[in-house]
Amino acid sequence: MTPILFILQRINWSELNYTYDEYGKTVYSFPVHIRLLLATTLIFLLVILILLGIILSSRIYKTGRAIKKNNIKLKYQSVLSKLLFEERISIENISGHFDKVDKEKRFNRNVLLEEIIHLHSTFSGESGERLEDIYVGLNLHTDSIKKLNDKSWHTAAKGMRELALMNIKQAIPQLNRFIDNPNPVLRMESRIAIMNLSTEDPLSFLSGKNIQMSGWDVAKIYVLLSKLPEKMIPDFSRWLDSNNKDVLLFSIQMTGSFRQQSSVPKLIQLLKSENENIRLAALKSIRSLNASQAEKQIIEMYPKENEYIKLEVLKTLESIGSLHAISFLEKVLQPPLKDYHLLIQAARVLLSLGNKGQEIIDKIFLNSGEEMQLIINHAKDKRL
Amino acid sequence: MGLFFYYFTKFADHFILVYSAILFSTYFVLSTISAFDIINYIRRNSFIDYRDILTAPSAPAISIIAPAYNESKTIVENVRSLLNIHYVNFEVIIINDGSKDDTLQLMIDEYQLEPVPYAFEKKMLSKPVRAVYKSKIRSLSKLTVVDKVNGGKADALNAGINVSKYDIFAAIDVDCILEYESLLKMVKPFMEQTEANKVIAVGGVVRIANSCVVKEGKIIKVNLPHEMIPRIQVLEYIRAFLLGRMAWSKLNGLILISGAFGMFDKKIVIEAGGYNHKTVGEDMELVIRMRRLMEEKKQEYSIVYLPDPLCWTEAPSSLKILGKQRNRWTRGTAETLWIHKKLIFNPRYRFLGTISMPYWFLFEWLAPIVESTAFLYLVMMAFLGILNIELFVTLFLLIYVFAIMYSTAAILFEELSFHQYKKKRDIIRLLGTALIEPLIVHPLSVYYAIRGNLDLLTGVKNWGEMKRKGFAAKK
Repeated sequence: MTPILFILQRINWSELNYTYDEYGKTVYSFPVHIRLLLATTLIFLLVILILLGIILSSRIYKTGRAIKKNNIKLKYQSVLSKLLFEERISIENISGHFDKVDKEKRFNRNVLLEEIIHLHSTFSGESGERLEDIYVGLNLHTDSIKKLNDKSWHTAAKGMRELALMNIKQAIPQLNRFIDNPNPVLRMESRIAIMNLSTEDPLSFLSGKNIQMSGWDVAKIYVLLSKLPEKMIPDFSRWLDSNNKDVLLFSIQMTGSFRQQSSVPKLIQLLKSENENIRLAALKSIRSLNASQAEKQIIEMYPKENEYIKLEVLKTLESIGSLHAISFLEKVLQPPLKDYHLLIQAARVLLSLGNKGQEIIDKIFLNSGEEMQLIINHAKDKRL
Repeated sequence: MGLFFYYFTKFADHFILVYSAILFSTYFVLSTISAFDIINYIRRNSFIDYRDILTAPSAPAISIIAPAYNESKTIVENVRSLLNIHYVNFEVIIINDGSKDDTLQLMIDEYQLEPVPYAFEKKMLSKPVRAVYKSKIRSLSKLTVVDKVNGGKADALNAGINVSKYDIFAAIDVDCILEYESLLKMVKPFMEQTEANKVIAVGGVVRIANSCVVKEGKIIKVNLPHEMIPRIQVLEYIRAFLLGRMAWSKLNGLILISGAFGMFDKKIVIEAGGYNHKTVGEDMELVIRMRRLMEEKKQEYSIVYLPDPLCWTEAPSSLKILGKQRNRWTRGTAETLWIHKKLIFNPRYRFLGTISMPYWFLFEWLAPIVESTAFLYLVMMAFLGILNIELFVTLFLLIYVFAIMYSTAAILFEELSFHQYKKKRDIIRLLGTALIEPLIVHPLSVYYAIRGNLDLLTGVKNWGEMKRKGFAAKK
């Protein structure tokens, strides 16, 4: 404490600039920079108060909104269940079951829409169709279509989702505007909507000029396609000549995923593509299709490739390889021993080729040093 | 002499003012950018069903690498938690980094491990591997345990990279608790990358798990820490992750992905040389080296940051451990900046060289030094009886109020975005913490940072052991 007291005593408190006013009260007169600092501090204090106000009001608003939403939801649930299960009411009369406020107030309409969509995800068949009728009967589809032109992208995306879920086929032309939108969410939502709504050609958007597709888009579309009936799955070989690299990559992957054997000749041609990703995707699809006719070509491409494609070649050979591959695999396993993962994979391919392959592995094992023996033992252990 | 002293004091006063003004402005700009980006992220996220990745054949496989050193208290539960991660194609590699306790034996017993003939290349430098273990139980085929000679966290991670099978790896602290969809969320940016813009790393927000209810390796209930020190760190983490790193990511200038949880493109990591043994800030150093590599290759790239709470970790609950942690962070920052000094103010490295690195140098590493020097300067002025008391009081007030405002903004971000602390009492306690923190813990943090720099100068190299209570004990 003593040093602090000492320092406090040393401070020249009389340095504070002050005078007295006519009533004898002290008036401080600070220099400009001090006043500026004080003003900034006051502004910061004000900002703190505003931030606190927002925190508090956000809590109150959220709670109030949740309560209000819940009350309206309960009301709609009973009306909707009546419309769905109790009475057979014609579409024209549906709107009579809702109050004016339900039909006009935006908040209410949104809650109603949410509830219909929620129920639609639970019900299918006749009840689902009935919900679609209610949606149209209350003119909610016009709300969804209006959303497509909203300035904020997330509102537009929401509209797309609603139209797709409620099966509004006439919205397809409007949705087509978004298929190559720079915003990835709008792009994806419009494609999903078109896929859901289109009965004949769900992937028509692939013929668009500037289609971009990321790995995420491919995954998403694959999931949707896998839910479609088999007859709806298009022949992807029709896009294997596409000049659009993204479309081409997607189609290569889909031919493999949906086991479209007819695309094998084109896939073999694509192994010569200048693009590394296309060669890699073609190899993976050839593997999925067990296309043994590609064996010669993939062995030929091996020496010129990078280690990632080399590994894919070897993995593909494990699926489609025959005894013709043995001499090639022996060469891969020759010293110098580098790129262990390739050596392990080559050994695995040999082990998959039956007795002949096994014999060769045994011979290599006996004639090699510790390093190669470890590689072979690794390849033999199914857990690794 | 008098004239010199006059000009010196004028310069010092102005320097403190200008430095504070620039620092405040950067905080303001960064938090504004973060706010917009978080809003956008949350909106985008509402259209995403991450479960789609689980059925997609194109979902990339991931190697999860978790170093463990003397983790016997929690290792069995931690490994179980990692094995239960919600993902489709992954392996879990636990690196026992020469633990002195029975960490390895506990894993061998619990998971029925046995040594296997594992052939791997030493692409990354690491201390010798004694053995690689796999389980006899088929359902545990995803688990690989590597036992190696102690070499530190960077060394263990390098060993893990050597052993890993897949092209993307996640480096994680073994005692971290991952959120259910963590891997799915982290992997998505890799799936969105294009040939023109490669995603080289993804980081996520780390949250503090002290006082949270943990059951079977999962966070069941989020609570604000009951103890003051972890609670202060909650504020710090929200500020750093939500207000800071999110903005740096948006600007593509992020140079730190937390060592607690990050996902990386293995090819780029190997090309960059892997984790550096020579620094205790191996997480930051790796990210800078990866960026440096991409800049030198003139290849466009991104480092993505996700604002979701993806990973929960136990924060130090005593000042002693907190001090060790902050000391290490400072040394790590200083070492990394020194290693990559060539980049600072170097326009060849574009945003990295002209903004990110100078910012870290001037406002992360230098800030505690400026702060403590300013403090000493004020004491000296007071001692000499020439302290400008008006300036001192107003500046102190301004800084204190700004600190509270910044923390309040962080609480607001948290409230409007991920809303982890739902009780009204939690918000009041966080606000209370914001009032206390600048007066108590911040000066200590400055002290720890100064000690860290001094330790670095005197050659202290230790990592600073983090003693954990363990989540398993909490109910």
